[in-house]
Amino acid sequence: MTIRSGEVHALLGENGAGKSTLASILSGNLQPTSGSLALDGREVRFRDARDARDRGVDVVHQHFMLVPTFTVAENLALFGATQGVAGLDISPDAVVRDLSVGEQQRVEIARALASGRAMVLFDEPTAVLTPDESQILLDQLRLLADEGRAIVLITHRVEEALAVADRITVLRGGRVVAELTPQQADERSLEALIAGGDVLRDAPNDETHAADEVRVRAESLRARSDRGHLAVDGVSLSVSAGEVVGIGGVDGNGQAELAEAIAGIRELESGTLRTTGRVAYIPGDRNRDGLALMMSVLDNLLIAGHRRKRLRAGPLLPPRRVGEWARAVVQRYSIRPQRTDLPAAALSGGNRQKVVVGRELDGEPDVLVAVHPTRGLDVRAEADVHRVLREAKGRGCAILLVSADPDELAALADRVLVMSRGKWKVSA
Amino acid sequence: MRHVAVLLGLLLTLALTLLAFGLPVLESLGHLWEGALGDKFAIHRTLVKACPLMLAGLGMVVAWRGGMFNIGGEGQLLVGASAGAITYQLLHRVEGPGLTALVLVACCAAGAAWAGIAALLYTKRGVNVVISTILLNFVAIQVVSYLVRGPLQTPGEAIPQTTPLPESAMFLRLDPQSSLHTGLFLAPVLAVLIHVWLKLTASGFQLRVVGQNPSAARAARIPVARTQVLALTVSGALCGLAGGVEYVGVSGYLFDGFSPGWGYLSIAVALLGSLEAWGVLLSGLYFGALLAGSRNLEAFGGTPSAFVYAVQGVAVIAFVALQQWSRRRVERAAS
Repeated sequence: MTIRSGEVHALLGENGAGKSTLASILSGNLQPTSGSLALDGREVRFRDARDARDRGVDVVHQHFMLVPTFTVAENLALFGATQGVAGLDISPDAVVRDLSVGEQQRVEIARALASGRAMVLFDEPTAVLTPDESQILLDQLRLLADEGRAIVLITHRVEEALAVADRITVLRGGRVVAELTPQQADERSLEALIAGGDVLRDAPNDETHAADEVRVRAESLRARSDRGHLAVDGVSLSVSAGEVVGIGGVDGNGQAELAEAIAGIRELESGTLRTTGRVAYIPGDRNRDGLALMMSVLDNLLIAGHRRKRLRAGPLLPPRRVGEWARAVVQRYSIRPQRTDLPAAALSGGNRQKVVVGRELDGEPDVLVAVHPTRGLDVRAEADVHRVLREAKGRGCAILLVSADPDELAALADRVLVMSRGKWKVSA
Repeated sequence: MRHVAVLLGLLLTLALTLLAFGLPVLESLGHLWEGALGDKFAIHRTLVKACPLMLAGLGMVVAWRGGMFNIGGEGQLLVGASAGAITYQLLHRVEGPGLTALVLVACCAAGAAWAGIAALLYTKRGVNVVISTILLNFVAIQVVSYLVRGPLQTPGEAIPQTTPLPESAMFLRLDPQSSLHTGLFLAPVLAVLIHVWLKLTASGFQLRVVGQNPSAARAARIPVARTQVLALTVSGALCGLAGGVEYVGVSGYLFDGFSPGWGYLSIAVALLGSLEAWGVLLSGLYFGALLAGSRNLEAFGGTPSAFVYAVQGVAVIAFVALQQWSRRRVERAAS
């Protein structure tokens, strides 16, 4: 790809598309394994981020690189900006820790612009901002580009790219799949490029299932992300027995937080939530939230199973009973190798996921919240998981399926809701 | 097979440490053996030394399995023993086994409460457990120092120590000629209970999951904070009991330097015992023997007994490195 001075260049793609890796290479934090990088027509090799900075390339990270206990002036001095930065509008003596997130970002940007850097990359800068703050930031990016800098905006938000960019590069699976101008694209075509297929979109419509037994009813849910911004912003939905409700949209728009809220592990900011019966939950990141990798397959199955009445004798978990159950689950969900004593870390990704899916669906839950249940799986494992989900639906389980894969949603969901910035996106 | 390897490894680290100190290896090993296992008295000495190590070591197993890296065994042990001495001071009209029981309950409760401070600081405020428990050790050491010079000092005594417990309130002697006492049986009994708890009950299972991956535990709706508080307070109770057993079983009074670092040593005991309850019994005996034997080495071999701490350090580093190495191998094989 090429980046020109005087332009805002949007780098678009979903989580894991390679945006941040590319940014790390461009800013000297990571060495490319192959390929070359030219700056102003001359080939360069950045030794590290400092080297890149010295040559005029800097990056504003998603996670700020400020020292929280230092003042604004001290933070700027740390990066070589000794004189005050015009238009910052924040007292240089303020301690960074006491600033709002938006203000901290302004300091971060001032830092990156210190001593006139020619190219600045912004890694998901609006992720932590309110809509108003985001608008201000995007306007600022435009100004910076008009002053002759090269600005790279890394984002997964299509509307931002369309609003501010001069050119857009779309990444998928680590490759450039398109390079175009906003005039050549619209939201729909960009989303299709990002996801690699048509993104389904539908307005919420509960009427067809009004008569069924409703297992999940959520009214105006609001919930915050781990970083504290409002990730779910007034969402209502209902899921009936035997129904699969798909939640789509570009990843990172509050889907994961909504799923956690409904699974009962994320505190609600406001709104009401009623679920009927046992709620099973398949988290989106199996290695981080699903498994204890150093524990055995048996123990990992027990993470859901240890509460089940029939596996227990009072407070005890009799080893023989538990062992038989675990072997049965391994059989039924065709987990390979068919052993319960290996650490979960010894299993492939697909089989790890089958451990999570198996233990959650065993014992026939009334509600299932599944987040990216087939992400990273090969075709066969994916088919296995889909079969299991269909069986659960057939039994009358109410399923909320969060997926970034339009084919998966089309294959499984009875209806699909699309989330954007924490709200339902109503089709135009 | 594996156990033989561990035993040989321990002997080897011992020999290498002796060598590094420039000591005659075989002769020194002989002194150690004499002091630890040479005759009935040596064996009794080993067992007596092992008592607090095994109990506090069990405490470490509970905390560390729950992911709470308790470094505060020393403080919890001292606060436990102090609570025992305070209980005696307040209730000295009670006598015999009744007093013993009350003293031990107070020791456990105080140790649990001391560890509870760190647990709450962590779950409510995110204060690192390693740091808070270490710092609470220093506070506890000063508390003991104050108590034995102030409110608990025997009236009319010049030496800073508390009034000794009456013989009737002490543990029974198993041998009139040595200090081997009935408190010895507490550790094996508790080891069985803790083993059952951690390995066979739902609550113990939750504790292990929280220790291995708290975010998976959260996703499975296991009460993470509550489990962490439980792990740390039970650990504190066991360390408090270790102090109590030494108080009621051996010394009968509290004094400055009451603990020669059992609380710290218990971490080594737990790690060398692979964080297993039964393993702690074995490694507690090993370190007990080392403590007992080093006295002999000091007397006849002219080596300062601080040597034990060097051996302890070397053994634990070697062992933990080995564990990490095999863990890495599993992970490599996995990816």
